[in-house]
Order: sequence, then structure tokens, then C-alpha cells
Amino acid sequence: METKTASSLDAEMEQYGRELGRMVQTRDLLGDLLWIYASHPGLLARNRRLLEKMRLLMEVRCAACPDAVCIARFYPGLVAIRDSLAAIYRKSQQSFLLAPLRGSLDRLAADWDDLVEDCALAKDREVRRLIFQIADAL
Amino acid sequence: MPFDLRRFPAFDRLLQETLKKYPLSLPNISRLIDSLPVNYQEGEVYPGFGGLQVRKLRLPLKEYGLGKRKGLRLLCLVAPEKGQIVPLMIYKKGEFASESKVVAEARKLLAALLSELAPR
Repeated sequence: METKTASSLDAEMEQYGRELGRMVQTRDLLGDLLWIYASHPGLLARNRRLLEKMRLLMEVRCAACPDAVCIARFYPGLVAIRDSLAAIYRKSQQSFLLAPLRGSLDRLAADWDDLVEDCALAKDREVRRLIFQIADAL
Repeated sequence: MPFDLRRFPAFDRLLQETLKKYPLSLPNISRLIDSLPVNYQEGEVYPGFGGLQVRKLRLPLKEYGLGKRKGLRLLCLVAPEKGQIVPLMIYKKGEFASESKVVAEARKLLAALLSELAPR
């Protein structure tokens, strides 16, 4: 069950990453920018859903997971999504037509950046080793 | 379960350093840190720590108009068996250029905390 959940989340993240990648590739043309506008509400909804699922997965697995292998598995996909969102945000800074989307894109990129940071810390062996040592020495 | 808050000098030095640019927020942030034993279930949980809990809280710098997203990140350790909560690291979001720098800083700071805990 858990593997199935992780696999479907994997697939969902991959698809989301691909769609964001297409947005990053768009040219600064009215048609492309209108496409970004049209995709924006869906982007927000999917983004929220994916983030919630990832956080839930992290929390549910928290007690049972013996190491951070599960996190390492998702990590490249998370970084790709964060980087794409940051690139789309930069695009919105260059085009005044996308200016109204800047705030929400900035928030999306910040939320994924937090998740990437959390995973980078949680999966780092040295950080984990030190935390366990601190806990032992308390 | 009641927890004791255990603060280390290395953490307090980092807190002072981090809030140098935001001095007006120091009382509020200190109060939030002191309330960790009550609010220990707040924040995001890091996976893979077994019976321990490593949590990250996002703290706003209200005095400077910065919300949780742009505010501080507080990493803390909840050790239920020891009945203790230890603030491990605090930093301003965006202070580090990349997550690898956050990790490098975390390694340095955790090593400092450990040496204060078990001096050689």
C-alpha cells in the first residue's frame, strides 16, 4: 500500500515536473504567456495537493523509516520542481505581462524550496549521525 | 508528556547572530523558543529518526513585516525518552544560497553543540 502510494506520488511529481519544464521553455510571446495564465489555477491546485502529499508521506513514515532512503528517492524530483518554479518566477520578473502572477509563483517556489531544504538536511548522513549522537548524550 | 527545554550556548550565539539585523524580533522569537516544551508538536517532521523527532518550525519576523515564508527556520530535536527539547539551529530563510550551504552550516553547528554537550 505504502509502496503504491509512493509510486503514484513519484509519477505525479514526474508529470508535474515535466509540465513545469514546458512552462520554463515558453517564449516571451503573448500566446505562450496566455498559456501560463490559463495553466496557473491548475498549477496552484496541483501544487498544494502534491506538497500536502509529500509532507504527509514524510510524517507518516517518520516513525517507521530506519534511514532516509525514501527521501533520497524523491529528492531529485523535488529539486527539479523547485528549480522549474524558480525559473518561472524569474520569467515573471522579466515580463510585465506575468507580473500579476509573481506573488503566487514566489510563494510556490518558497514552499518547494523549504521542502528541498528539509529533505537535504534529513537525508544527510553526517547531520543524522550528529543528531543521534546529541540525543544519546542528553 | 512534559518536556524540558535545553538550550546550548552555541545555539544562543547563533540566535544572537541571526537576529542582529532584526533586533526588534529578539524578544518575540525568544518567547517562541521558550514555549517549545508546550508547542513541541508544531512544525514539519523530518523522517527517519525513529523514536526521536526532528522538527522544523517557520517563525515570522512580524516586526519587520516578514511572514513565515520569509522568516526564520528553527530546527529542533524532541527526545521523548529523555524528556528534552533541544533547539538545534536557527537561520533566516534565504540566508544561504543553496541547500548544500544549509547542510554544511548544520554540520558545523551540530558538531559544536555536541562538543558542548560532551566536552573532551
